[in-house]
Amino acid sequence: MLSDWFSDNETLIQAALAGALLAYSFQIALRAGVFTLGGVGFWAIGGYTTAYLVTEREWATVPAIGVGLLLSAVIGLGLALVLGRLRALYLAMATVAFVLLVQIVAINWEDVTGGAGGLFGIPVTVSTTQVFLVVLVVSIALVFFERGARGRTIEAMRLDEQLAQSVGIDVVRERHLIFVLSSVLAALSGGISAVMFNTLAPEQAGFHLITDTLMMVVIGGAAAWWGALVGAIIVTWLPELLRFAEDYRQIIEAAIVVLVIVYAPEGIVGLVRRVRGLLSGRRPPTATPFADIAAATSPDRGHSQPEAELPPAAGRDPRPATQARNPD
Amino acid sequence: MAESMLSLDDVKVHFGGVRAVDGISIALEPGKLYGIVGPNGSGKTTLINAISRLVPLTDGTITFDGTVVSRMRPFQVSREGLARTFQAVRLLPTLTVRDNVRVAVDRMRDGDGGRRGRWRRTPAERNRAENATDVALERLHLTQLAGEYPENLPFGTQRRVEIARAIANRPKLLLLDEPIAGMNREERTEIAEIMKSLRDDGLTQLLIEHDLRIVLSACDHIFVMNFGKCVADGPPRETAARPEVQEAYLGRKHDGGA
Repeated sequence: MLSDWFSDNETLIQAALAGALLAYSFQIALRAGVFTLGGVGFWAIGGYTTAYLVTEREWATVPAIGVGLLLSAVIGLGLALVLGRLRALYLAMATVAFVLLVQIVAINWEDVTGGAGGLFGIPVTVSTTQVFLVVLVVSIALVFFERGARGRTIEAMRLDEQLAQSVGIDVVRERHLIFVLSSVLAALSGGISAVMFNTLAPEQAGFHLITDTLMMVVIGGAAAWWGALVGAIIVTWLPELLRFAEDYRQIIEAAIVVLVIVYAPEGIVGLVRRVRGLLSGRRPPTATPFADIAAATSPDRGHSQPEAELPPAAGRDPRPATQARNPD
Repeated sequence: MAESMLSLDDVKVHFGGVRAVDGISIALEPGKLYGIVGPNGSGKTTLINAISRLVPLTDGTITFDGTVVSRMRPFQVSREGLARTFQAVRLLPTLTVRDNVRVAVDRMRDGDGGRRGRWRRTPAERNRAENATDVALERLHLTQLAGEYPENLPFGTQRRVEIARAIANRPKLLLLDEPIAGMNREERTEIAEIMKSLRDDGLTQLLIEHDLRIVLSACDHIFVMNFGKCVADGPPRETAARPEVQEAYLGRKHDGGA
């Protein structure tokens, strides 16, 4: 029976739903070329704010989560302003530092966070169905966010920042917006997790949550919102499915990630698009959602470098012989 | 010249010790097709990058249609009505030809020309953007290819998509950085015809091009650049025949120093 399966797997379903919200937070940033991993820090901020307000101040759940979102939006904007000039791996490093900073605060601010031991006995005030509805609403919002004019803007920002600027896109403002939205989604995941699992500890909001969430986005694919959702489900269930492997489980998980990166770098979204392309006979484009990293080493993406006037590639640009370089 | 579409006053762009653009003062009248010629490394592309604000000015002032744009960011000067193409074709590989053009009109708004991007567009604004896309595609003979992805298209066609994107938002000034490089003779002539017809519609254009045949036949006025300076300007044929221009292109036989 469906209801039996549901109750047997309720914890996994809850984890997948909370994971999906955090994966969305990573996905919208990565798709726009904003390589931030700060989401985990905002997950903690949202989680602790909600837990504190619900437990210590006896607030209702919705306003408590709301305060967490607001706080994350403000801190997210502040972070965007401070780190605005950083790109690619430099931004990733700086945002990891932010995550570790939040974790240190969580360990030391014992009055609010319960210190290293964390918080226990947070009242469970949300049902799985409610969380499912939240994920549904966010998913629908992302459908609209990623298509049409904004979808094109996001693609342009990731693929070619200079070009985006030259067609009138205010890249700085758009990146700030993405930063804030990404922070808010992560805080939503954290807030919901706090009142769904009734415990919250600093160790949860560390590097392994970054890698887990990145795994979701890589396996699912960052090119569309539903990649994050599928990735969240797979990554949540993987340990369960690999239970037979016992001690070798983590090795198998790592091997799966490597295989996906090598053979399906755009994740499941990319695979589905390739199959759809084969069926329709129209070759879909190939472009990795992590093009930002490649761009970090490419000189012509910078803000102030001159566009080199290189001699034309052989055979591509037959110019008259009268255009010899001045011998001076 | 109060009615200049674009005027540059002693514009300099230096990269460390390299004086890529070194004191250019030119003015473009509206509705004309201008050409910039000069040897490789003479600063043509840097000049266009400076006008479109992709590189910072070391010194000088750029006035575009009555507005000083020297300190503006690239998206702002784009919203003022300046469009450009790039030396290397820069299309978005994950978008169709149609969407590659539409990305340039997505900020089209009634009233303020999209200077303050409102969150939602009205249906009328969206329709106008659709129409502008159709017009641009049609003009560059791309209507049949609207659903294709750029990487499936030949190089010359990709260049046409880039030009369609640049003209879609009905700019006041179009900067073209070697738009026909790498094209065959037939395609070159076709693009030259399109540039002329855009000029006839009143669009001011500034073109960097190495193919002198096209420059001489299409442009109303040319600027010759060498070592970051404008060494000559005037009507195409007479200017190209001048000794200092020949020298810039061919070099001197007896090197008497720069």
